[in-house]
Amino acid sequence: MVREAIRWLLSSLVLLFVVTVLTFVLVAMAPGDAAKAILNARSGGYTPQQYQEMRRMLGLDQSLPVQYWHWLDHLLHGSMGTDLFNGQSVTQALGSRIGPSLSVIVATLVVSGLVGVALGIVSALRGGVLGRLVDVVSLGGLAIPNFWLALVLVELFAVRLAAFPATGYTPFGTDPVQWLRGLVLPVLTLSAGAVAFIAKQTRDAMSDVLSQEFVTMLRARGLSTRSVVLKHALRNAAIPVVTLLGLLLVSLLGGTVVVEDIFAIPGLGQQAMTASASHDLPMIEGVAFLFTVVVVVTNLVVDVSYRLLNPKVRAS
Amino acid sequence: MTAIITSPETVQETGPAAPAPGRPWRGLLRQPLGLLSAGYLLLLVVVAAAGTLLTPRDPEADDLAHTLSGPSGAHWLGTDRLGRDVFSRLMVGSRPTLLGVAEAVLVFVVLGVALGMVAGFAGGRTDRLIARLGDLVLAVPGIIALLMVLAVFPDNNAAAMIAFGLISSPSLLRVVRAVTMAVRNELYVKAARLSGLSTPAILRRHILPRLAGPVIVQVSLFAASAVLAETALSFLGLATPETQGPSWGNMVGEAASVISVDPWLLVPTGGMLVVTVLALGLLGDTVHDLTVGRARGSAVRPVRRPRPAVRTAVAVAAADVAAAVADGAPTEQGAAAPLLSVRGLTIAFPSPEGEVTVVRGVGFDVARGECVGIVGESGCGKTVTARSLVGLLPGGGRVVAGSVAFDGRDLADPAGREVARLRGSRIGLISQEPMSGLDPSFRVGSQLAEVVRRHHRLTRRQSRARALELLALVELPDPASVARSHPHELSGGMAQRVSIALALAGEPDLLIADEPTTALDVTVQAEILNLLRSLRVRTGMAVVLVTHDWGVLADLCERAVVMYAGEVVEQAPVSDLYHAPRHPYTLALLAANPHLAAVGQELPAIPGTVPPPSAWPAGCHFQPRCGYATEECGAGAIPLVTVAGGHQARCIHVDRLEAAR
Amino acid sequence: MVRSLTTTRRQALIAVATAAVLGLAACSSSAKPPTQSGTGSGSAGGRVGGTLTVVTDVSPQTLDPAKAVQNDAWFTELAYEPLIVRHSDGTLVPGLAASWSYTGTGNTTFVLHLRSGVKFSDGSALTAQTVVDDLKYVVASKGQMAPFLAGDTFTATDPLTVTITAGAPNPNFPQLLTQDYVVGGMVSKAGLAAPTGLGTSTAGAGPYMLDAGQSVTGDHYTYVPNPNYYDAKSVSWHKVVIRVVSDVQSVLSTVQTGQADVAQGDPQTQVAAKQAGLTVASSPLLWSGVVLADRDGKLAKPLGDVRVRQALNYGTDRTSIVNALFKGLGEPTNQMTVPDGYGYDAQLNSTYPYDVNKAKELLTAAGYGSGFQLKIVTPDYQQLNILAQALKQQWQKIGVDLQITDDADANKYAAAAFGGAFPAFMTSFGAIPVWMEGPSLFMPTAAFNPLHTADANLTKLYNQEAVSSGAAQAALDQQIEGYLVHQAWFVPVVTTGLPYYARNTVSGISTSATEPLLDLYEVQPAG
Ligand code: SF4
Repeated sequence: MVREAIRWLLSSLVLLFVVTVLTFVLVAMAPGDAAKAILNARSGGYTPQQYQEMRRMLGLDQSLPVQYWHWLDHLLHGSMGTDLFNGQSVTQALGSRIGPSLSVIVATLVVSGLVGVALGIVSALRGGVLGRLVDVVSLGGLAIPNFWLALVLVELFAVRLAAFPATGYTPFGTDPVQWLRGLVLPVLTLSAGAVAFIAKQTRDAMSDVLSQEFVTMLRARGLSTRSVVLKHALRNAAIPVVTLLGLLLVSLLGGTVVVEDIFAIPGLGQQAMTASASHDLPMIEGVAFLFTVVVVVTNLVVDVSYRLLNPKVRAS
Repeated sequence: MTAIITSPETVQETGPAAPAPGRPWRGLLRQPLGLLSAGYLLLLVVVAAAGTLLTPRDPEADDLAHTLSGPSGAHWLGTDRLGRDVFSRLMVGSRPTLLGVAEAVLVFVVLGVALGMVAGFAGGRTDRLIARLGDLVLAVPGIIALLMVLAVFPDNNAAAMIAFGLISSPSLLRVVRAVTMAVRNELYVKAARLSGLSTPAILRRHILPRLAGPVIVQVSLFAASAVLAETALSFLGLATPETQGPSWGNMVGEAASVISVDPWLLVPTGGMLVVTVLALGLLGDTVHDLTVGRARGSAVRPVRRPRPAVRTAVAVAAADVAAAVADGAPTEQGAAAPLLSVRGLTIAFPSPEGEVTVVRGVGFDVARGECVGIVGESGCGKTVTARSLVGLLPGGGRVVAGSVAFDGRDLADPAGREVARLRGSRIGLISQEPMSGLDPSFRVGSQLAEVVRRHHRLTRRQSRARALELLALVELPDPASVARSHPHELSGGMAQRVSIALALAGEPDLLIADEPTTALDVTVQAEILNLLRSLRVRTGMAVVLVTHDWGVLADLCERAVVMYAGEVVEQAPVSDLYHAPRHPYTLALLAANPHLAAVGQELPAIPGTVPPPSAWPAGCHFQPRCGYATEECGAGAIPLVTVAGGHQARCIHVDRLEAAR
Repeated sequence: MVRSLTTTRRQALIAVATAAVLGLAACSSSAKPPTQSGTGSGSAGGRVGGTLTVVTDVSPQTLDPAKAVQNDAWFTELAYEPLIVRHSDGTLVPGLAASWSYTGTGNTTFVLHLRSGVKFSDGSALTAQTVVDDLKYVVASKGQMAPFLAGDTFTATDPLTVTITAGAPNPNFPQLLTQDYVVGGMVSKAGLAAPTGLGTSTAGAGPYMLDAGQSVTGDHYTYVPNPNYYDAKSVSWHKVVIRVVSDVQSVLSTVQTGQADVAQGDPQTQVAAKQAGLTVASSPLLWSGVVLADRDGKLAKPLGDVRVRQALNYGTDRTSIVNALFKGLGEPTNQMTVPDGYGYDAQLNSTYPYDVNKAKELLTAAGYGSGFQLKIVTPDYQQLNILAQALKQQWQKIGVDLQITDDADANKYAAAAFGGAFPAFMTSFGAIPVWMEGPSLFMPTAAFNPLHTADANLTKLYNQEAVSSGAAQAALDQQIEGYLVHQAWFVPVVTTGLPYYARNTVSGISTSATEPLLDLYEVQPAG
């Protein structure tokens, strides 16, 4: 167990290192830099001297390894630098954006997990017309571009019916009811695809498990369908599904960009877009670092639940 | 973009179980939706390739007097902000979109297949290295990677799509690796390697063809997500600007920008996307169904009651068959009503060509406490027959005619309620593969206790105690430790003992043992047989034993039913069968039995193989392999006739057989 | 719509493209009686409403008035009282300065007399020295407006008097020091001492101050009343929340659903907003069209010939374009200013009627009867990319083949357009005082003159304008505008405004030709 933990830690560190270095290199390779972006924004034109001066001010004139070392050094001292544009600390900026993003992502996971798994089970059990229907609905869910769906939902539920707010995010601590109401439309938007994805995968996993010999034997021993399906089959089908939920979480992490944009949710996706478009290196690094940490932690959680669910892996 | 889900993995942990049927394409033709999708996609490619050749109007010609006109005779899908024809622009716009998708798919396939095959084939360190690399790429948040790539190559659609293909490829890699590994380990491939076939040749000849199905599935799903990614990027203003000509993405973007003025524009543009993604998805699904196969008819699904009309038709047809085979009922039997009585049992399975009958007109009886064996080669319908007795036919199979009476109740009732009540409590089942018959996720003790509680009103504690008793009953040396184990920690013999314990938990009157020793070592086989024999003595239960081993049969059973190609060809007390077989097939089986062959004598195998149900010959099923066959044998159905007391055979040349002896 | 980049893009873009968006109105004047901002619309007196929520698609890069750009004005004007206030009717009224005037002629010495007893939100007092330090900080920060103050000397001639001695004549000090150009807002001494803090907090003497605890940078900014504000009775709200919603459609739905009272809209949603029953206010603010940057024919030889540039103007069917793309949003135009803007001359609008034959004649005369290729770069905001495509179709008829490069990334567009890589580029430009327009638009060093065309006549007129005032200045403005139109340095197509939407919960939503920007602190509770 200890060895496993050390291995996980080491591979996580390697991943973090690789991602942050790659990010540095890519940002450096990108045409244009923060100095230009700032100068363009502030005065609409600049002399080469102004540009050089701005680069010095931002520390962009140093070599890449040196810049990276500085960044790393700061990180080890608990700081991720400051936003090049408004001087806000990156840690603080990201901190304020984790809540909204996580709310949307976790709510989507819960909704799509519950609905998707339920649909998947039902369609695996019934097959036939219903199975086909779930197939088609699933595909439909995956096929509808989510920005399109978002616009339609806003028009319908916010503008026409005034049932939910069209935009914005209320922190849970401020007003739990508003928090929930604000999440409904964004989560619906994201869940359409996610439910479809999970339903399909659960259906496949479930069909796979249900066709296994032990299921027949469980029935032969007289167990109720309920126990066979909900206890035994589901427990076994959960193994691949948990992996998929992990994957879904990782993809939702970036996939919230459009939804955050349309629903004006101050999340990480938005921050990622903004930062990368303005070459705001500390912020980009911060986002990349945070995303990678989330991915690493997600993988850990998936791995642990995998072990809990699958005695074979647990033993070895 | 829907969370760009970069891994449309359908084949997760397991590779495809069965080899793909030869040509999925022919199957495709039978799937209207799949065919429609393929046709649509083909049309799309033609349209994209033709460019302006096919467009009804010049896609670039503007008409400032008629902007955002909505659909009309002149403009089927309306006009855009500059009065350009939306229909023509959608046609032309398919090119950059498809091109982007093609780029992504190319990278996806090349990387996924090449690395996956290498990893799966080479195994060992190479495999681990590639797997690590794949995990690493999968761990990179996709959107960040795309943003970075677009920052380095601004407005460059190709770069973005290539990157998208790259970061998605590990999912294909995994699938290809799994399939390659599975194929590599198959006997014929091993043989090919041993015979010196070079690695590239093996990859080309044996592995690539098997990859086609799963790869096509993955590619169509990936292509669908690539279409969405391409358009989402354009929509976000990150790639394919409108001034470079129309693309689906920038058209949706444009439509979205005028949504408050003219929502119509979202319909054709968004619709095009939805239809295309749907087509790709359906194509993938269809190919998936045709190649990998979907365990559609799962064991748990309640048997659906066939619609009356159909049922009647089938029943009538079955009745004809039953009549033709003279009911197959044993003519004489002890005075006491038998425990189990099977009559005219006919079982069919669904197939793409319609239902196929695999067991026809089977009948036999089992008295209380009696042990009856069912023998025959594999593929003769023994297992199907045994499973039908507990109402657990796999793969959508169903009893289309006949009856199964157990202690006076009809178990062949299509709703299956009766048999469901008896399963476990009065009829037990043990299977061929003891290990795969146990739920891998639960401890033995808990599985056993659950079954005990199901059949007896006991507290949790009592049922745990009873579970330990049962484990002791099947002569497991350390019941407590076995109860704490997970199935994978057991040996095959232990697992089979656990299975038996599970079957005994409800104290059944009838135990159906489906080749209970086949998968075990010879010494373990003997132990299990001893156990079964002693349990019979102790519990007095009847046993139906499916086997292809004469030794086992002789050891345990009083009577035997010989099955060939879905039919009972002979049944008799075991000793009669041994000493005076009345059917050429039984004779051949006995001759091929290792237990009976004299030492040093060459084992005569029965030439030929059991024909699949679709290829059953007219008349006697055994005719192509029968040394006694004459023309008459193929003339019509052969009846089962009583040749001696309690001895029946399905052969018109019984007398010749006797003469030969 | 949905440019997720809008925040960034907008920041970079309008800042760049419309080097300055505002500031029409009567030039240099302090003659108005000292009325106070807010009290103009009588009902305000002391009535305090609840929360005002406004929404915009612009996210400020920084709240520091020395570094913020004009688009960020909403975020700074609530907290930073300017020296001079631009009232919604366009007049200039006292802010922190009770009065102001030029001394002598030649527009080189400008004196401000500060209001006494003013305190900043941090409690410190307003002194002439604070103003001097602040202006120096503005110059040192090299922000958007710094060039217009660079080279000037700032002196505190007594505790409440500031004298600005201009390095070069500047007729526009009064306009420059209003809230419209952001730098007019004064920062307290403590704020100037720790300038990095100014990015995400405020230290001004305005009616409100930022409550950082209730704000999330880039998402929403909450302002609460400044207890030290000198004119407490003009504070109309307990709280003002500015929400940033980057998607313009979502901006509309936010105000439509009552989640906000006021919105800074977008031409894309203007018509829909009106249909939805919202109050829509908009006044002309921008012209959009082509900058024919290569007037010396360095990159595209044909553009060196004035007849070719005029031909392009004749070959543009402005009316059709406006009807198709800007219906209800703007008017066709021939000039680089807006109706009633600086140097506007209604007669100039008949300079280039749509006339394909005339255009062809001119091209033939210039030796390009068989046409030529012209490379152009466009951003994709303000429908400029669509406009470019419309021009491409129209100019085909006179044989000009427009080759469009579309840069969705505003920074990349800026680099291409202002880096002199293209002979022509699409742009939107705000109408501003001609003296300020020069260094941005047409003088040899202007960003919008990337190939540095120098024209002796133009320079002469400009230098005269810089030292003039009153009617003479207005006449010179028109002369300069006319010169630019006739020399055809540009192909302006349409003038548009910036729309504001409001629900009936508020009043005071008005803009005018002379103040096309809505001032937030003038918004009152309705009724
Ligand atoms: S009926 Fe004919 S073919 Fe069939 S077993 Fe008898 S002899 Fe052989």
